[in-house]
Amino acid sequence: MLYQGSLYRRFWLLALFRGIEAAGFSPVTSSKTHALVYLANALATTYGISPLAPILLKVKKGPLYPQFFWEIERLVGMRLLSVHALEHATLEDIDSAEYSLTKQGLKLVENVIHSVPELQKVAQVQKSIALAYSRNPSAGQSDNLLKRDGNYGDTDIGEGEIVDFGEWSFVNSTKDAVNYLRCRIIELHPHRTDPAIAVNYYAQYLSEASYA
Amino acid sequence: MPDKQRIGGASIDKLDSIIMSGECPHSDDDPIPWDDPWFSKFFSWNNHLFSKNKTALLLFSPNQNSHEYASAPRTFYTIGGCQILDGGIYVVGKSSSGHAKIIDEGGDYQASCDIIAQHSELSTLPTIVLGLQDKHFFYYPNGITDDQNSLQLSCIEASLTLDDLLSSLDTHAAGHLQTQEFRKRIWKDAGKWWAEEYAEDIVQYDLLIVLRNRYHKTHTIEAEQITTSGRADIKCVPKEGLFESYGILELKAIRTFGSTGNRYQHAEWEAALRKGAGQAFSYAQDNNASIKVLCVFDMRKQQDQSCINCGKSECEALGVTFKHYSIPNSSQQVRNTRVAKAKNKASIS
Repeated sequence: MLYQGSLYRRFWLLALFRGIEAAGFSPVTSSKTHALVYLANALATTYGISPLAPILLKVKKGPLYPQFFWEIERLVGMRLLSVHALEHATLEDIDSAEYSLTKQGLKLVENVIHSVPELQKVAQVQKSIALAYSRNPSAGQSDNLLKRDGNYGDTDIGEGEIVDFGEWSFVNSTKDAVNYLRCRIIELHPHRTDPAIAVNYYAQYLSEASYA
Repeated sequence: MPDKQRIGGASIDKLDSIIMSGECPHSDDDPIPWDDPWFSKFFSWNNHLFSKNKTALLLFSPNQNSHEYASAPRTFYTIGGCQILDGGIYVVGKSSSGHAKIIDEGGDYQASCDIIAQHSELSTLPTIVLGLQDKHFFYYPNGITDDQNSLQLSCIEASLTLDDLLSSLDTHAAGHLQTQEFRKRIWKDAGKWWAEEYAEDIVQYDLLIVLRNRYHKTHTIEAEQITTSGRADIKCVPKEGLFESYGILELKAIRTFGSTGNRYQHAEWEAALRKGAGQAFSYAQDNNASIKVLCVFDMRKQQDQSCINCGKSECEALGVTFKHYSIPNSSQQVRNTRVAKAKNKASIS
């Protein structure tokens, strides 16, 4: 029960924004937030935790997670996230915005981690993924994900189809690609077993598509 | 037929090539508040700022957004891509590709210090000061208000060779370990010769930064990394694709009294030095390292040579380079060390 529901989803998002803050990458645009939410889901099992939403629609413009944005808007309302550079054509439709964790948001995440030790690992993983992403910001660009990512770039899945890496399907090619990297790294350096190292290399691999 | 060169949409060839050309990051728990790519930026920004007579203070914070001051403009600045940096105070994060929050844009050092001193949250953040000195910049791990605790870093990068490493260690010892400021950090009660509990960790942390600063282009410098035979204090791992030397440094602080006044004996010092030589040798063998050094930081009240000679001969037998540095406990000793060094230098020349 701990790892389900709206409250957990909100904690999960706040922990991700905490990692972005630590990297110094804040504020982060809405399109980058979608990409980061995708990577955090696709890479979660690499660290041994379950993804929250292992299914999404393949769209040319990049990963899209409307359910997470519903939560993000609530977190803004609760003053746990702040919004900057808001652009909207109409009152209802936000074109773009940038988000960052507030002081209260950080305090809340740290209090939760302190009082619910089971969530410490989740927060560590979110921070690790956010750091890897922040070091290689173009890793989340839609073109790079389409060209290179295990799941999102799989040419067997067409635009408008479902990318499923854990809801009904057992195949998570992004995780498999990171595990491949991890094995190769361990062959070269037997003591570099930390999954974060492979995840960082994977983010570099995705971002390198911009220059290829 | 499935493409065997792909994992879903990922190309195995390109995954392989990133391992050879990519940048190995440090662990998420790395104690240094910034990633290695920052070093190159520190070098170029420092020289430009110095030529313009401006300073920039980079404050490393785990949460830039929590520093909300009435006087501070809510401006975020993409600092990563900047070839040159204007003077001012910037709150930044671990990644060099990130943003900075600008607190002040003046660039006057004293005025910047005054602004920071007014805000307790800012004054304790790990801080890099650029532009204050030609070809050197400064690091304050506990913020600029703790000026006893600072590290001067040179804007020179080099390739790792035994000679260069030894000369870096000597420079670091003379300019940092054997100074009044360091004396105040490393002793719990200098008058009684009581060393700080984690004296070795203090030395290791500073050395880690000094070595990363100098060798960041060619090596990944790691602390407390596991090898087959145990944990190496400092490992200098060449970056993939570079035919550079591999280095192992083992650090030992020997002392007469611990932090609670507990006394150490001659046999314990000898055992520590023998163990250190063995560790440097074994870890070097595990990694096929050509550079293996045992660094001894001597905090004993009476620094007799017999145990040092024991460490030296153990190192000689194992092909480990032995370095010995006295850590002074008084102003008098700091002066004596300086004078002895100057005399030694004069006699050599």
